[in-house]
Amino acid sequence: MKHRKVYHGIWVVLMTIASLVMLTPTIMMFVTSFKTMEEIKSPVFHLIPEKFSLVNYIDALASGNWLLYFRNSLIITVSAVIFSLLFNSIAGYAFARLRFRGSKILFSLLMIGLMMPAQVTMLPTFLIMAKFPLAGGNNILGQGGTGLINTFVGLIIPLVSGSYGIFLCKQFYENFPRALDEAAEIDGAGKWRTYFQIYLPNSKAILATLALTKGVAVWNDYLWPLVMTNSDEHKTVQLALTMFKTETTIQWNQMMAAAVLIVLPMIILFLLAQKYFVQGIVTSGLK
Amino acid sequence: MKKRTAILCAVAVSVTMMLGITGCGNQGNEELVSSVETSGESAGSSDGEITKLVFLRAGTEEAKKDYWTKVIEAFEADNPDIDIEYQECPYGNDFETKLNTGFASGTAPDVINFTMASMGTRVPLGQYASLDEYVENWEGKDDYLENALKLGTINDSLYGLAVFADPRVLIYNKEMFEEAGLDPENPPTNWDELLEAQEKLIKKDGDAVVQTGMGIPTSGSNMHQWFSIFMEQNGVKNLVDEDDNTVLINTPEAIEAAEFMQELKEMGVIQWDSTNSDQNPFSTGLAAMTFGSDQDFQTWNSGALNGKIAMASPLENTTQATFCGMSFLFMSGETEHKEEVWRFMEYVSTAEKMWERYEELGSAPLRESLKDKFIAEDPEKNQVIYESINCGSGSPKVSYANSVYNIVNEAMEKIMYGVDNPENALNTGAEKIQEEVDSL
Repeated sequence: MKHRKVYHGIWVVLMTIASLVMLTPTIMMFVTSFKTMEEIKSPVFHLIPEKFSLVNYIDALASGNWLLYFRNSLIITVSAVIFSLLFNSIAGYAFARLRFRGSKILFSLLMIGLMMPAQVTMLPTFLIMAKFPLAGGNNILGQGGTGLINTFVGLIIPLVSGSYGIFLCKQFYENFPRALDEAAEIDGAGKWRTYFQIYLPNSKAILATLALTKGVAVWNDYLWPLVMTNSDEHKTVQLALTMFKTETTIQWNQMMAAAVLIVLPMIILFLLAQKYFVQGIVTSGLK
Repeated sequence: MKKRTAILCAVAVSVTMMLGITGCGNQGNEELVSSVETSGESAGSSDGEITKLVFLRAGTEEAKKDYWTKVIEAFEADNPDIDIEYQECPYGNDFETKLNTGFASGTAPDVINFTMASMGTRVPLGQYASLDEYVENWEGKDDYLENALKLGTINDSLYGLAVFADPRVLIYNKEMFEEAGLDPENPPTNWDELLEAQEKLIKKDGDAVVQTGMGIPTSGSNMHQWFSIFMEQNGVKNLVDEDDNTVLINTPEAIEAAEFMQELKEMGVIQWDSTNSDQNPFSTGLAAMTFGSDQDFQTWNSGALNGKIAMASPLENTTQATFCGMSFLFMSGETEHKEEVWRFMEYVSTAEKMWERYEELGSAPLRESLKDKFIAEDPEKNQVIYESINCGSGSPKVSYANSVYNIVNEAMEKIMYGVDNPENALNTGAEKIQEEVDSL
């Protein structure tokens, strides 16, 4: 009993240290957002700002059309999350429950996609979007215009699929008892009905996990919007952060103020989905 | 079951079509690639055709965005047959990624505002077009600053038309000079005087340096710039010779320059990372001198150092020299509208537009005809800027320039932290650069 208490104590101390290490960048971001540039550049470091002021937030928000940037990020993130939840869970269900020729090869190909860095597929994806038929002045062969470049649709389409989401859903659905499928079949339900009326309503945990990971990834994505957008009309919050950076200098105080505002929606999303997130990770067999 | 499948297929097709139509419906994307379209409303063109061009600028500063937007509007008003879409992208790797994607997919912009360093990589790939045929009969050619044209030239061909010069000038704190018993009106002009000033300006608390003379950095991604300044002041052409790829960082003069920097460091400096000029101890009054840009000068002079700082002419040991970054307008090698692009470049480079640029952004005009007017505006400061542009050289325009920077930065950090002596560090660096050259 005594040993257990000691181990528990050590565990708590280690976890506290680990948490502090992980929280340090966030804490630094938060405190820097209240400092003046003089204080940031000062050789004497103060964790707590000498004078709390919201002027950085006011200046940061005044330096661009932030309502538009937040709206753009929101459109892209919400659309990508909704469509990816739908497509990934359907594909995950198919791989977990349907027997069809080539399913193993298809799944292996998906797994290869899981190991592929986004930078490798960026150019081919960009070309597919640029050559999208009958869009942006393109003809049926995808020539003559710019396809889906600089459009929300072009930004969203490549984000709605994902090997990780399909893999997660497949693992999750494989834990469902087969008796459920058999009962549904006896009641005359087809595969689509079984998915929509039995599997989907019982997928809250995995969908919340997926929504959170996808949402954070899309919200924080920088590279894809960078190459796909050309105008303020489609600029996302992450791209807008570069406004505070010149060739040689960075306006750290305003950049950190904007960064605090940008992470807020993700923190709220995490707090709302936290319960399901842990459950989803555990039940999908990922640890 | 079949009916259900058919319904699902119909829904899928509808969604796909809807996405396609949404894409078509976006007005903005049609302007990405230059195109010629017929417009009945065109007033300036006899055949009613409007040529659409895309202008991409490196950088996202609001002031420059406002400036370019205004210039484009004025140009379009004077040239109703040309429509220019303004685009911008952050500096550095982001800009390279954007350009690479554009060129790889055939959607590259028509006019590009980017740095001199990009020429070494993009000219050999044919991504920048030569301007020789346009410049040949251009009245502005003889009036342009010789060095500005030279910096935009590779193999005797002009590729870039300079728009913004960014020379590094010697900036010093007059108040600190006075406190140290130095004449604030006579800043150092050569290395000996710099050493003398360094000695007098250093203040120590025990072993700790609390104030230094020359605020030179000890690490970071811009160490190569600092090294090239001292190296060129000692008579070395550049980090590598652009003409024949000879590595110059380990010539005796270059080693001497590195030794000089080491000597300054050993006398006592406040360590800082050259990647971010915000860290420069000069900005917080902990260094009395530094090399900085005109923009740095303006930033520092508007803060706590207001009225206390001044600019001085570039130093020399054997040659008066400094680093001079330059931002150019490039014509895309892929554009189908070279004539229209040149009309825009010519418009931006007129004396009138240059002067407007000076008035709005403070950037030095690059025409001889504006020299006197420019200097008369602020004789003390503008004379230095003008001299620095004229004697400045920039990054080597070679395809392996980035490797050169990394290798030189690494060597300089070793020297500044005493890990290696200048001769060894630079010889090792030169070998690495030579390997890059050999692999071309």
